[in-house]
Amino acid sequence: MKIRMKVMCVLLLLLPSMMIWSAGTKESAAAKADGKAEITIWDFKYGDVEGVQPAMKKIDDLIMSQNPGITIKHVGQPNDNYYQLVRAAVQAGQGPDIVMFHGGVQAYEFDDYTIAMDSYIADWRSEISEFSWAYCSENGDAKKPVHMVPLTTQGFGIYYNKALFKQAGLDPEKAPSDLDEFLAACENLKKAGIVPIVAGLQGDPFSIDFLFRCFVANIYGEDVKDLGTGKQNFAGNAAFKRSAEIVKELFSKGYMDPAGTSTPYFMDAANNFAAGKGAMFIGLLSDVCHWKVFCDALGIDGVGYFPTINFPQAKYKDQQVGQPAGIGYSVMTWSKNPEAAMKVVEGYARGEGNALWMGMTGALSPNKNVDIKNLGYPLVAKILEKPFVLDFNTLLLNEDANGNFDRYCAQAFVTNEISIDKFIAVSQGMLDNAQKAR
Amino acid sequence: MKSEAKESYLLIMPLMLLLLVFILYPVLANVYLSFFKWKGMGKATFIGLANYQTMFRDETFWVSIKNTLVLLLYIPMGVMLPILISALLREGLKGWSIFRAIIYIPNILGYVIMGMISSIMFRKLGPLNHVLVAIGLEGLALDWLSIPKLTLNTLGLVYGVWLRLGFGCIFFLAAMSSIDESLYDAAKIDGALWWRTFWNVTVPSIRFSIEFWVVLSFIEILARAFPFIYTFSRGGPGFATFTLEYGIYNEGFVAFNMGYASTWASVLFVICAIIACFQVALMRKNSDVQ
Repeated sequence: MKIRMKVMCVLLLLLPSMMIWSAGTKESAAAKADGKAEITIWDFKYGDVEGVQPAMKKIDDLIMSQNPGITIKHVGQPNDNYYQLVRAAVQAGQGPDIVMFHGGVQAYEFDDYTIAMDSYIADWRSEISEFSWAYCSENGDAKKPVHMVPLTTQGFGIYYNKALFKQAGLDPEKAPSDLDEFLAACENLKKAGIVPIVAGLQGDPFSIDFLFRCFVANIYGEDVKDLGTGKQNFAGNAAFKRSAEIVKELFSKGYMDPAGTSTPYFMDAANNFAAGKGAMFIGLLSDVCHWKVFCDALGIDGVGYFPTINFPQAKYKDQQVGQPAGIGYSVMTWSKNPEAAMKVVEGYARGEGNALWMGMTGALSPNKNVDIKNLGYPLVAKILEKPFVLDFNTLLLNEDANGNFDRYCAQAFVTNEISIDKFIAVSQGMLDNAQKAR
Repeated sequence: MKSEAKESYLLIMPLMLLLLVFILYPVLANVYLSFFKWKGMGKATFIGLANYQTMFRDETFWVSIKNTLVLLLYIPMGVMLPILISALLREGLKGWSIFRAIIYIPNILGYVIMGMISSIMFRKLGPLNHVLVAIGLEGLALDWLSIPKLTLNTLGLVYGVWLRLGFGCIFFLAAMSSIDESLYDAAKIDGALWWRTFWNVTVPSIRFSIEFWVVLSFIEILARAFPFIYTFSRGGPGFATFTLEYGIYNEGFVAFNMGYASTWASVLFVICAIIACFQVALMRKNSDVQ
């Protein structure tokens, strides 16, 4: 009887304590009562305590000093299940005021839950190109309202180590201008005992994925957006097939790092290139694995860059693949302080805050007023000289853009499970899926 | 109703409530959701059996079924090996306590850490290949993580067998400790050799534990392998280690096709239910015989 009574007592105590706990998790509205606003930001970059967080802390402090009524609560969320957390917040109808999104489909899915920003950005809209604003508009439609302020532009290109080029008897100041020169450079490097292309192919083979994005820019140029409408296709395009054959050749001739199959791209392969363990690297232009990281490691004048490999079958030359918004901030519809939240977003996207963001992290800003050349890296000025062509990956659905393409690349080039024709067919399937979804 | 019965119901009520909320409701909600198109937020749209039609046409689904079945083939080895080791250890082995600690380590570290460690161990330039080369077995120093069949079988061996070897040994040793010693004495008098004694005395005596371990093994492979696969190979290379469970994660939390992911989850539930029913029937039959 005594034991039974004890069990009952425990159960009775458990119930109110759970109620108190659940009530305690509700955010207090007290902060707004005195005219001050606490703005909460969710972010998948803030967790990078060495690279990004110090910059964001500085920018937050700057914004708070410029706007005394605003307190910023910056929350670093885990990268791996970030969008699950945001979805949970949407389902609950409450959560942070500001949410960081990747540009493109991952942001468009939240259009119904993020505010239209046009009236807030009207005064400084001209600082960022309409190319970026269009991409950040509802479902990527320039005629519809803007739902995200871009913080970075993203892109891909090929970096090379000038010292290793010199060691292999190549001219370090002259990047390979076409396929023949590129293959000759690889051969020379290989003969000199240098890994021609540092690759990250374990798990998601991003080295191949990113190389294809560079190739596609040269194959379709400005017409790349037609891959989303069916006017252009992978299937039946001789240049796309040739690009796949080139990738195959890079593997068969041993130009891709033989250890790449068991090297993850992030961050092992990038670190290998930065450590001088290979001559070329298909890298990013912003956020991570970019010009600043490599120049800091190999010397400001020690790194060269070219946007793509030109080959005869491709219609265009020297096209640089890019995303008009790599990452950006949106304000959620449930925010009680959208004006204050927009002030915070603005603090990141322009002026001193944006300059800090770019200078400390090496991110490429879409803001035209921020002069990146002042940072003292001649390479980035070279990169920015070239116009951008839309990354085809941004036209795909989530499942294809965030995984399936990588798996097809692995099957075709790493494990040799599927033929080039099959690779083209499944890649075309991704375009078809995206068209059907529209 | 007797007051004692009432009290019994009252005492099991919290557990029943938990089961209802955390087991029964999610299962039913999952089946319900499989008839909808839902991106994990906002309004769900009823689409009838469309998700099931898509799934049966989806090449990835069939690949995941095939991969899952291959992993299930490792269950016999995952059951037999710890039994054999336990049977040897039962007779006493010098330094057993150290050996026990070593083989039990994977259970302490957990799947995520073991997945990470295994992924590093099996790299082309990883420690395993270094050791193989150092001892003159260059031919066995393979690219474990980029040859599809090899990666899948490595996963089966590491996850299905090695990872739970330590716990299995301890589990079966505990089971064997309850076997009446007189049975072994009788076998010895009858002139039975070690193997004969193992098959005719040890195995039948721990039959119930073996059946339980088999059930656990099925659960581990069908419904608990995700954290290991995620850290070991991310379902790759390509779709080489992409299992049914991994597909549910991929569709649900990468593509955010929650309705479609629920369809896959319903299939996994049906497979688990069939296996569970079969095993329960088998266990009942065996207990009746006993």
